[in-house]
This record gives sequence, C-alpha cells and structure tokens, in this order.
Amino acid sequence: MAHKRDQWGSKLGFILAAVGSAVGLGNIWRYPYLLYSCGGGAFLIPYFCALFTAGIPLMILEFGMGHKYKGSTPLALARANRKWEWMGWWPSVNSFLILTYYIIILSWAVNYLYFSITQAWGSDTNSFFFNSFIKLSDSPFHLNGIVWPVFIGLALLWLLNWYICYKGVSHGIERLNKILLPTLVGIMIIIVIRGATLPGASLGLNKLFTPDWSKVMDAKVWMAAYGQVFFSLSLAMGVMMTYSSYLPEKTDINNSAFITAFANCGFEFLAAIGVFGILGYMATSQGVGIEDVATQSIGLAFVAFPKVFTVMGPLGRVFGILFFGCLVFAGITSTVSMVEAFSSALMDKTGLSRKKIVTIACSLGFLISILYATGAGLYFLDIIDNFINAYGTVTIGLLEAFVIGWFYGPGKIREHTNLISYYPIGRWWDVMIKFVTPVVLLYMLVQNVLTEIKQPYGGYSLNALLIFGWGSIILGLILSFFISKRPWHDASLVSPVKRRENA
Amino acid sequence: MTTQSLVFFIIGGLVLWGGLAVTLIIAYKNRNND
Repeated sequence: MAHKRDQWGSKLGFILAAVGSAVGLGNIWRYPYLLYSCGGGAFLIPYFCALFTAGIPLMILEFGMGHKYKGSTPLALARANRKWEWMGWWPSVNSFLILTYYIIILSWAVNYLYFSITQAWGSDTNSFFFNSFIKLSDSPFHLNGIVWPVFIGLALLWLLNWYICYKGVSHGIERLNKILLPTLVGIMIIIVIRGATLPGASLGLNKLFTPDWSKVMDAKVWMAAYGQVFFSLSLAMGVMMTYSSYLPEKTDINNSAFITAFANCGFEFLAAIGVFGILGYMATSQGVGIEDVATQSIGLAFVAFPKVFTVMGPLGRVFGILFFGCLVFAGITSTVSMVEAFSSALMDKTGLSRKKIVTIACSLGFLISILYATGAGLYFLDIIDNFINAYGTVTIGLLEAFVIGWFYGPGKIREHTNLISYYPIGRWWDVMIKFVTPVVLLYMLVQNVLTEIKQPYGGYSLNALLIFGWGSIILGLILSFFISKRPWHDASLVSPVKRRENA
Repeated sequence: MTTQSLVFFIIGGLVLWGGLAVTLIIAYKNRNND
C-alpha cells in the first residue's frame, strides 16, 4: 500500500528539526575540549575552513538531493542512479546502529538527572560511575548482567522515541523540536551566564581562547576540525536527506543549510564557554591547573562535572539538573532524527504504514540496545562508535561527494537549489564537492586506517575489535547490499518515468 | 579575560552568531516567498 509522503508544517519546523538533529552530545562534551586542546583561539581557523569548505557544501548537497528526489536517502539515491541505492541504505542502517548505543548515553543522563537532586554520586565520582552505576565488567566478553536503572531509562527513552515518530513528521518530530530546542538553548544560556561569572571562570576562558599558533601547522588539528564539523552536523547519516524530502516544492534550500550549520556551530561555541567557565571554577577551587581538570566525553559529563556540582554545594544541584537536562534534550532531538532516517527508508521501500514501521524499528532497536545496558555495554559502545564513525560515516561522506561530484554532476543539484532559494550558490560549491570534500575525507580515512594498523583502537583485544568493530562495519554493508537487492513495493518509485516526475 | 582571549572570543562569536543572525534575517525577510 502506497503512503502519502509527510510534510513539515512550516519551514521553521524543518530548520528546528535539522538543528535538533545536528545539536547533540558532541556539541556539549566534545567540542569544548577540542577547542581547548587544538590551539584555543587559533583552532578557529581550521574550524571555519572546515565549516565553509566541507560542512556547509555537504549540507547543501544532502538538502538538495533529498528535496530534488523527494525520498529517504536510499530512495533519493536510487532515483538519481539505480546502482547507488545501497549507498543510501548504508547511512540509514548505520544511523540505526548508532541509535542503539547513543540512547544508552541518554539513559545514563536521565539517571544522572535524577541523581542530581541528591548528588547521589558522592565524593568519588569516578568509582561511582564505573563501579556502582554502570557496573563495568573486566572485558567486552563478560556481560556481568543487566544494569536495571540503565534498562529502565532505556525503555522510557525508546517509548518516547516511538511515540514521537509514530505521531509523524509535523505532529511528532516538528512539535517536539519546537519545544525542546528553544528550551535547550535557554538552559544553555543560563549555564553560560552563571558558569562564566563563577569565581575562577576567567582562568578557564583564557585557556580556552588563548591561541597556540604552533597547533595550526599540525595536520592532525586540521583533521580534528574537519571531523568535528562533519560529525557534528549529522552528515552522511541519512538524516538531512530524509528531513529535506519532507519540504514543500517551493522552499529555500541554500539559506536553510547555512542556518542549520551556523546554529549548530554557534551552539557548540556557546557550550564551550559554559563548560570552560565551570572547569575554571573547579581548577581555582582545588588549586590546580586547567589541564588537571579539562576532559571530554563520558569523563567530562559523568565524572568531572558531577565532582564540580558537589563542590558547588546547593547551587550544584541546580547546575546538575540543568546540565543533565541539556544532555537529555540535545540527545532526544538527535535520536528521533535517527529513528526517522531509518524508518522513512523502510517505509519507502516496503510501503508499510508509518505506525507499523516505527513500531518494528523501535522494538528491534530496544532489544539490541539491551546489550549495551549490561556491564560490558561501555566496551561495545566505545568500540562500535569508533569504527562506525572512523570508517563507516567517513566512507559514506566520501562516496556521496565522489559520486555526486564526479558522476552525477554537482551542477544539477546546484541548479535545483538555486532555482528555489533566495540566494544562489556559485561554482565554488562544485569545486568543494568535487575536490575539497573528497580529498579531505579520503585523507581522514587513510589516516584512520594507518593509525588502526599501528595501534589497534583503545588497547582492546584483536577479537573484540574484529567482532564488534569491523563486525559492525561489515554488518552495515551486508545489510545495505541485501536490502538494496530487494524490490521496491512500487517499482514505479524508481522507474525512469517516475524519476523524471520527481526530478 | 585577557585581551588576546577576548579577541578570539569576539571573532568566534561574530562569525558563528553573526552568521546565524544574518541568515535568520534573510529567511525572515523572504518568509512570504516560500
């Protein structure tokens, strides 16, 4: 049974959803440390270069493809060239795989939101997180049973994701983002204002922005900047093409891509000020240097920050609730986009109703993610996240830019977006898609492989890396090829006649 | 904050938040064309 394609209720709704998808945990816990450790203010040079030469051009490409071919990622690519369908399934499947572990971190954040009320983590936040809370086992092959508080958070989050996507694009996803995104920005502004005015905050902010020009000459810093922009904007994950396919015929594409990119990067810049203001306060209150307290990722959110909140006393309870609330809100708007990217592709392929597909996808996702709610969950998460991002997502971005740049012709996408946008983009965009983006992503991929050969990731055993790391990449590829060989429920969807109608 | 770090904070803020403001104004002015 063919289904009518959903549409956004307004362009604002689309932009908020796209920004909501891009703004995630990485903006809050990865970018601040990256800015600090990769040259401070000097890092802004490679960062802006990455934004204007790869981030925004790829965003226009994904928005343009999704809008032109009015389909989820596999359908859009199949309509462009029937042989490229698998390239659309790979990001959709990867998105689903990422979702199964990303949601675990949100479950931790939901638990910590609750812990913030009593500051249940006590004085040894490191031991609390790893031993008492997630009950980390000694190896990826020792599951150590299910961690029930994580499991309960997981169930609630899957239920919420299911409900939002079940309600549809305008009544579910758009409405959620219209509430959560302004709330998230509001909370972050409160954190930044208070964080930057804490005693000692200036120490953190000086360390964050003082330029170290020697770092700008380092190729690794440039790769880190391109990596941050690429991953942070939810590119090559199937989300942006899917979201733009729900736009009406006459809509602005070019400016929407700029808004999404600026909003995402503006948010992480804001988050960096808040995070380093608070870290400056912590360093001053403990009489240590910023380098002793500055950290990122799980260590920042679940170990360092809870410690700061304890030091703050009653104010720390409020800060804890605001901070973990931020993580949860930023995460939910991203998880919903991943559910949608995967479900939309399956809806297009099978013709089954949204309600059936979303229910199947969320039930399956929930069952898989239980694996991450065990004592070995952090190991699985760490390995799979590294491999999917370093090899899967980078390769997909590279393929996207390569086939569009060299086979399809970027000019066709540019002409399409220029026809409906307020301001046209010039031929510079073709150059970025054809040369700059593929070269940078290829370099990044080669570097990742060389690093992996020299030193296997994270000190894990070869078996663990083969099974969970390379296994997840191979699984994604096999599933993509397998699904792409299955027929569409309506063959005319990708037939040349239908393609001309949609082009 | 030192003057040097303040300068880079302003540059970052101008490009990112300024860029966002300009693009939002463009979208608002053309809202009836969509």
